[in-house]
Amino acid sequence: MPNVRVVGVGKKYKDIDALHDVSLEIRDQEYVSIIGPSGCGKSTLLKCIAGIIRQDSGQIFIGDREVSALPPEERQLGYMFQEIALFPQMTSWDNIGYGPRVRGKNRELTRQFVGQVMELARLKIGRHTYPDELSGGARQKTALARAIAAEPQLLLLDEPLGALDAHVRAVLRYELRRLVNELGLTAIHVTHDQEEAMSISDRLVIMKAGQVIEVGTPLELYLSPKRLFTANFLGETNFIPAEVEDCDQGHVTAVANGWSVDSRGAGFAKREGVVLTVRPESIIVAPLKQADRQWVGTVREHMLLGDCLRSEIELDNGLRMIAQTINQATEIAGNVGERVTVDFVKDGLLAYQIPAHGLDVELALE
Amino acid sequence: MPTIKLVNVTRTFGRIKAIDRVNLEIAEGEYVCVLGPTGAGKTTLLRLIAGLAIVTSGRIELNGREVTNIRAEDRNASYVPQQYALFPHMTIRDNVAFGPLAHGFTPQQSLETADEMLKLVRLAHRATAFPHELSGGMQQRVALARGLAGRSPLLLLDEPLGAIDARLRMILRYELRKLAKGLGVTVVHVTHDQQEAMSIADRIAVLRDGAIRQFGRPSEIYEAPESPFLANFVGGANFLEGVVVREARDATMINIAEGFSITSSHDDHGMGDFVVASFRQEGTLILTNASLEENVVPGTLVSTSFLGSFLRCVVSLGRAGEVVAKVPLREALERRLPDRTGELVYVRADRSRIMLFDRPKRPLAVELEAF
Amino acid sequence: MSLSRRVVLFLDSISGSRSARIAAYAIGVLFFLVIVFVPPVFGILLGGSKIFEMLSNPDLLNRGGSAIAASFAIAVTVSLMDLAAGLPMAWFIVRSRSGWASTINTLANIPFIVPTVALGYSVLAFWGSSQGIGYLLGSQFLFSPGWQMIVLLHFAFSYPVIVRVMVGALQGYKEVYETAARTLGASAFTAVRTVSLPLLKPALIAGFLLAFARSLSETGATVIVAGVFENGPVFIRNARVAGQESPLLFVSLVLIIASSLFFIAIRIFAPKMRLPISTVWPRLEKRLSSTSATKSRNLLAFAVFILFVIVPSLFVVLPGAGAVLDGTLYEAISAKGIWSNYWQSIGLSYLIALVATCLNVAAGLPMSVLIARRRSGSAISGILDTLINIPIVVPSIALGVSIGIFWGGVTGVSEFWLLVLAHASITYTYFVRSMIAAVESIPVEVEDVARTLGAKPLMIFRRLTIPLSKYALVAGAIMAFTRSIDETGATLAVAKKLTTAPVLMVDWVKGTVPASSHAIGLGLGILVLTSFASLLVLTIATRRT
Repeated sequence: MPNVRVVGVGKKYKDIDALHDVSLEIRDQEYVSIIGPSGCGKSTLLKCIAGIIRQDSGQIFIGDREVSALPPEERQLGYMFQEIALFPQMTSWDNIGYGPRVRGKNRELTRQFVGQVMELARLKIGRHTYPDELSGGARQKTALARAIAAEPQLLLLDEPLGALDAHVRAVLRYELRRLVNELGLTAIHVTHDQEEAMSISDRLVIMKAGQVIEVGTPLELYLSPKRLFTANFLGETNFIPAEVEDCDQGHVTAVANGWSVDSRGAGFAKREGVVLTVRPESIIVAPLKQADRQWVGTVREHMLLGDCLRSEIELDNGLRMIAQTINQATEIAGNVGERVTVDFVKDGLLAYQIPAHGLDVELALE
Repeated sequence: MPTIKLVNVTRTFGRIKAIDRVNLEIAEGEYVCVLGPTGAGKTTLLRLIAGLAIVTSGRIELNGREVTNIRAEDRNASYVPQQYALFPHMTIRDNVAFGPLAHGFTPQQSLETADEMLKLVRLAHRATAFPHELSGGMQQRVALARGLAGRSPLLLLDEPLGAIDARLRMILRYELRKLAKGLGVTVVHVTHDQQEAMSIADRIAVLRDGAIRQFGRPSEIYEAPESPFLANFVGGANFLEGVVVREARDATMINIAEGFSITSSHDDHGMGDFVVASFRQEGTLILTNASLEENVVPGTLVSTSFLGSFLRCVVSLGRAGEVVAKVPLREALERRLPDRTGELVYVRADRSRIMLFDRPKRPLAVELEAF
Repeated sequence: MSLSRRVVLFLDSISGSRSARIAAYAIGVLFFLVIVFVPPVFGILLGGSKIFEMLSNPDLLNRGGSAIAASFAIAVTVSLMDLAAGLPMAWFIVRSRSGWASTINTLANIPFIVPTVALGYSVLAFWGSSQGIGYLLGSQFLFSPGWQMIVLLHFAFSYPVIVRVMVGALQGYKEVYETAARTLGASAFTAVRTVSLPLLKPALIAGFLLAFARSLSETGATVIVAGVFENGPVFIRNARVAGQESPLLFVSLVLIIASSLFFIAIRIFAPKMRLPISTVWPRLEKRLSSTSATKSRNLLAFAVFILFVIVPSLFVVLPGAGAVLDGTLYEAISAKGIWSNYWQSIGLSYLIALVATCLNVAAGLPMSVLIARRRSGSAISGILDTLINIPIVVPSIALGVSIGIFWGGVTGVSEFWLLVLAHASITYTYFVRSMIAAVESIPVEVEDVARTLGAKPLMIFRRLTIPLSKYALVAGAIMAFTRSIDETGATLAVAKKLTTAPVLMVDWVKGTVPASSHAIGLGLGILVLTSFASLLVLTIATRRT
């Protein structure tokens, strides 16, 4: 199974850059997700790799071959469409068998092969069932089976779970990964759902406004993102404007609205303005006992979200923070109006330069 | 007096019962989510309340007035469909002014109300734009403003965040609730996303196959679901089937498989009862060493996946099946769980967090609606 | 509050009542039945026993039978040929990235612009005279009037119908299915054949039926090129000219029944026909997908288009140009001699078209809403949806005969109103189908939301339905209008004293009224220009969609 290389790909629609100088490398048998807000160009990039769209500039390599001039039918890939696009006038079996048939496999062999693929995908459908008679989840699986049956070397997935209910998505995504693993395929998965991407990918590519923002493993990008946008996009983050007091060997002491706090970070000068980030689950909330200390506030809102508890805390120094605790312990501070202390997990904060174009523009999700 | 009252409302299409004897009372100013899988009948229910569909039997009262046979244009219940249905040929200002105009206000008054509403949803600066010029999130806000401008006390939302990106959804849903609460409108918000419902609803009505399975506050449904389906659909859970072998106050012991029993503090089942024991994924703890505490079961760590603030760990318990544990990320990293796949681990759940249900008539997998 | 606003609010609130709405729809349905449907389809039966007198005359029976069979044979052949020639053209227009595409799209409409009468004369001149094809390729390529020329004529005027329908269908077709097939390894040709064409089948059938109806129905131009050959409409026209009532009635009746049955049969059975898609020839089809194969295909389609459609359609320009040069133009403008009748007939044509179109718009609007929104349940709406197509399937001359008999017994219906009713009946469908498509494309949710915001039905109609279907409304009205200007058959059947422009032109060509070829050319040319003007308005009005 090949690796994929995208080199300097650009694509313009009228005057807008749908893709701008995009370069990527995906290794053999890697499962990579390309994520970003709507309109960031992720689908356009996938379609360029597939040959459905022709890029304006740059090259695309699948394995050792430069494929830019090849039409989709010669790139040996499997593609799952956002709209699913099962052929409505054919049965599900014929849909899955379409790939083998158009490449010359005879009817009998195709039928056997389709049976095998369906077993692999754990799909049970009658021989004479049409796509519109299937449930959403079954249709998705059929589309996946159809892509796999074409014996691709590369699997491209465009929001493959987009049309499904939330609870079905949360289960099917693991099925997707399992199947890709078992077949040893290289896969590129495009989605706007960061939780989906983080849970099943080897690496993530973050895109915004036609450009690649950051690339890394889910863990790296979640715990130590290089860009503030990434911190905001991969789940909730608190952003605290602060001023640097001291910066030494990856350790920063800063002052935020008059209170002192320690953070990770490097390369900052004294009195430089920074933005500190801390994840809600890295904040420890406890009932206020000792009156004379910093990082004290009042609970403004408190909700059980199921597996965790979410609190909105207004600190005495004017900052507002969101804290999250796993719903395990039986005693958690959190009644609205309660006075609480706020502490941070070790290495829970990370310092960033204030973005040149402004924090709001950097964090914008649409 | 409840703002919305449904009494034995049924809607059939031929032999199919789309809505099956639904009883519901929603108070003034309440934010209620109707939660359920696709096909449960949520949109039908909403349309019945709006008057866009007629009940086959039963009664609907809005603000104490019976409206069962009253047409939609006279019910004063604003409906916002999934695709927003903004009027494409009008500016968003005219879109929002439509409601007051339809109610007989002068064009002047209607535009004033529209401007007020657009300011509320922070779109006053785009008042002269057309719907197709705006992003999805902005269109959604216009649809809301339009629904609220008619000063209707009731807002019916059909998957209002369905077309929005996952991350943006997490932010917009709080804004939605704040907007509604600020204006004091009663909201019925339909969704298939239980996380969404849990975050913003005062009460949740879970709908399945046209019937309401449970109606209560989010914490109630989460902590005391009335069926395995509810335990699974709202929040997800682990399920083990077994037989009650010993019962005492606050301690019911269930035998799952040979040599493998667990104890629950729930005690409303008797000896010999077939039960399904259920415990939440975040209530499932992973231990790396054996322990003499109760409810500790050995298994193999099959896989781990990263969910942001949690690590999702799948542990195989042999013939008893698989369970999922949600371990806080920092703890999981400190204990190096991702590197331990294939190793022997132990799984534990506190007795107070093990719920017991009667074994359902249908096979468990079907009952849980594993599609 | 101003008076007009008070009136509007009052009307809005009335529309909320069930009886008011039922009344509005009832008017629409009644108009359709009483004016558009019953007279043309059933009027002929009032002819009574006279219809069957012809049965006792074996020669006439033979002639009539062959004429009817010829009509169907030609119509089916021509429609299939048009499908084969028009589909690659439509494909090129929609899918090609070349700048030529939109030019060709506009060119393909030319036979629409040219009224069929002018087209008939143009075809006659091009294929039959030494100045046309004879000039280009030599006289062995000349055709004489007869069934071959009819085929050439019908091919030309049904071609744009296919192209229009297929272009519309392709523009609305979700290319993702074809793309999916290609990502699965199918070459472009295979993907189109096995996935796209089956999905476009409804459009193919619709195009076929429209082309078929046009061929079956057309009278004026066919009369011009038929010579001694007879198809259905020509036979009926000859019978009328000769004053023979029974053949007129009998053949009309048979045509009405046969075309209605054929139409219904195709509607029911064609969708069930399965295109052969299960066999694949990978290597052959890959070669057929190559750029050179595609280029040759496009070139061939284009050549057919130019030689058999464009040039024959525009050939009438030549004699017309000659008229400008030799002073016939001056005669025309000063309405000397034959020209005074000419201007009268043009005036009459336009008046009839205007009145008929206004009636159709007024009565067609409630009908369109009724059908598009299934207000009376899907069974009845489905039946009505099929019935409204019948008047365009039935040959217009037979329709005219039937209408003439139906209203003939009613006193007080002058010939002018008879013509208006006949034209209204024929053009109704063009308007209503356009409106139905437009209303159907408005999502129902838009109306749902408006209702819950408190809007009464009339307010929704005024502020939503009409603005959102504005262009289809104008387009449909103009289509109906131009169709009426064009109409020859029904007028021939109904009119005894009055003459519309196309009918007058037929008389000029056939020599019933003596006119020089330059005069004919000019007369037809002016007709083309006025038709072109209306279609220009159509293009401008619909361009903004």
